[in-house]
Amino acid sequence: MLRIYALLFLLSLSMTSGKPVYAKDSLLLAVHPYLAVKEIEKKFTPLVEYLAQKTGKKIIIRVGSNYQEHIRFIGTDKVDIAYMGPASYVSMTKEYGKKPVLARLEVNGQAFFQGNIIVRKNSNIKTIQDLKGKRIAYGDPNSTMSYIVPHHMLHKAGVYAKHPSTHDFLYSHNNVAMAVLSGDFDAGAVKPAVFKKFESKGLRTLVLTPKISEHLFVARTDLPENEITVIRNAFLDMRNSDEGLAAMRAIKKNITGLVKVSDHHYDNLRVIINETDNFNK
Amino acid sequence: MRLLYIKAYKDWIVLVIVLLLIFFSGWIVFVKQTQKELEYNYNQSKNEAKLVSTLIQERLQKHDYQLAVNFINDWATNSPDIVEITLYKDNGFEFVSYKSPLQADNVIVEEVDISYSYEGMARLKIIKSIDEVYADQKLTLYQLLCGYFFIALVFCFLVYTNRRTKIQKKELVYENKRRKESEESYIREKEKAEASAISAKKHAAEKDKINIELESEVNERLKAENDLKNLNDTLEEKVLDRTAELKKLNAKIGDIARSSGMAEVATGVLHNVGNVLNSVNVSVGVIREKINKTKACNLSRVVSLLEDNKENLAEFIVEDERGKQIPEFLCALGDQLDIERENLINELGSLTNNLEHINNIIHMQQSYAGNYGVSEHVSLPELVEDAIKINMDGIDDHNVEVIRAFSEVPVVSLDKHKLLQVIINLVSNAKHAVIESGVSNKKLFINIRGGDKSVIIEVKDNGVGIKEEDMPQLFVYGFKKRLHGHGFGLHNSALVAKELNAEIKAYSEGLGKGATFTLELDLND
Repeated sequence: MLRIYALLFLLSLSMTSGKPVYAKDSLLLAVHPYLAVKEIEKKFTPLVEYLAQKTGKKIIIRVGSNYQEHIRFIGTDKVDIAYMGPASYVSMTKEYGKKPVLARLEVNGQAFFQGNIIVRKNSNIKTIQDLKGKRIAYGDPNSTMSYIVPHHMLHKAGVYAKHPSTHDFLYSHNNVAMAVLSGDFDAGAVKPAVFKKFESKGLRTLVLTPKISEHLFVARTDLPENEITVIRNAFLDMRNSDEGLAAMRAIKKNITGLVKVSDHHYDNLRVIINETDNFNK
Repeated sequence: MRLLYIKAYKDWIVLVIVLLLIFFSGWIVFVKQTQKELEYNYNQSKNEAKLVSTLIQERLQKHDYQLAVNFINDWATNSPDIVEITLYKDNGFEFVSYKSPLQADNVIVEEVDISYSYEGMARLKIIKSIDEVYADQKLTLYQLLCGYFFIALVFCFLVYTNRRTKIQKKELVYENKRRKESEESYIREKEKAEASAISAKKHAAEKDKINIELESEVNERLKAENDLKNLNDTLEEKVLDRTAELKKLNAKIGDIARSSGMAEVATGVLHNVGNVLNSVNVSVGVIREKINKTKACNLSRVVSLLEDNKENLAEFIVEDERGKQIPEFLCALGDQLDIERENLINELGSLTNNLEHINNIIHMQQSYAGNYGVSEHVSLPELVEDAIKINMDGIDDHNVEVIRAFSEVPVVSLDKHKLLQVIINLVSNAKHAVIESGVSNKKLFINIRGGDKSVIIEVKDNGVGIKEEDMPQLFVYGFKKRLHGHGFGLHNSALVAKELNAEIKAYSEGLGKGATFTLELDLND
């Protein structure tokens, strides 16, 4: 019973002061809910063990209940380390300010990614301009790849001017691909992996979206510098050790390494998001 | 017997008809059941497809294709009878096409249209295996066939048993007979075997016993042999001594034997003489009595009466009353004296015969001492009469009735006195037997019968009879039944009969039932 009271006391202190409860001998790693909680825990366990070995501290995973909560926890420094998508990072910095960035993913040797705007192979749509008035399928409205960037791109291309197109959020890249293939939608935005998966069934890429910097790890603002350095070095060294490679590939099969990251790598996305906000106003 | 089974063709025809009916009814039920089962599966498949399509429709309307695909995959994975399931759009795009590794020969194909948007329709195609249904039906068919064959067997068995029971009733009588015979023969063989086993055991035991005895005997003999060897040395001396002693003893035994023989001879003589002397005494007694009672003594009174009147004798005879009776008296006395004289002569004849017989007995005994008896022609009836006469004293006194039955037999040539002696003895024994029995009608039956080869003299009485156990000792010397008997008569008679080439046989049915003695004379010699 005493332990519970002590825990509640510490929790109340942390809520008021905004400090993580595991400050001394453990680090809290937050991950956005892009998969089921158990699957995320499974994918990140090798990384947790790797970091614990490198930092000498216990690493605890925390999966956010949704993207907004995840952003809020990072923004308010309630977690020590966070894994974020590019759009979430831009939203977080816009609302809560910059945070110490640790490293970003390098997938297939590239630290950035591009989305695919897809149509059926036998579709009459040949250019982005042909999408005017067509039905367009997007994934999650918070998804960089399946909504924010492609929507901004189409908007800039004037697809939504004069002959407004209709679009719908299907909350899954696979749903987008199948929606296009089934003819329910004329086009859609998906990440490259999903495009490759369904390409043989009759999809083709109409256009690629602009390059966006990859997912990244950030740290709590007031995390000691030496600890940040230790963690950052640990991330950057992952490609050089078997444990590190195994930990990376557990998160995503085609990760080739974690590389240096800077806030300006996300400036183009920041512009896109700001402009998108303006489109919606 | 096999023909009896075959002849039950009516039973078998009925059985075949019943079995065919059962088979066809079973087949109809099976076909109906199979149709019903298939129909059920079709309906179930259709309902299942409808349900699935409804659920998929909801997801498709929300454009959650992935969820629809996941649902189909999950459902197909958990449905073992799904062979193939495809969800496709009318433009040919397949959302999902699940193919099970299951190989099915019999399937149900169900297709359902799913309308979820204005841009066309999706279609759900389900191919479901009904191999299991067919397998179940096949199993049911096998079970049905097994059941059918079982029923057929039961029916066959019942018919067979029924027929057999009938036949067995007939067989039972023969079987019982046969079994009895076999049991009896088995028991006999068993008894034989047991008897032989017992006998073998007994033989073995006896053999063992004999072996042991032989062994001990051999030992004893060996020992005795040794003893004999020891004794042998001294034996010769002893033999000489013993020989001398034996010679003395032989001389003594010869004397004793001679004495015994003489005694036996003397006993025989005395017995025979005694028998005759009885008759002699009787004859003498009769003569004495006759003399005592003779009327001749009255003659002296007549003589003295005549002497007293000798002077006037004529006057006395003519005038005196007493004198007048004298002539008449003398005539009567003369007649009486004639009778008495005749009786006395007869009696004296008998006495003479007896004395002659005694003389012959003595003479006969003398013949044993070296003289031989004389053979003479003998009339057997006469001789038997003599023997009866000799025994007449007891016969008259005790009112014994003598019944004679003499056949005509040839005159025989033999020693008359020896034969008489035997017959007297037989008649005497019979007489004493009837007297001692105390029966009221004492009877002696004396028969003479025979021919040229042999003659039988039979003396039969209704006297005391002879016990069965006494029969073998009847002719043994010293055996006697009467208080005053000598135990010699029958013994001597048997010996004498043998000398006469005759044989005495005795018969009796027991005490109180009389006895019969026969003397059979062989006339061949």
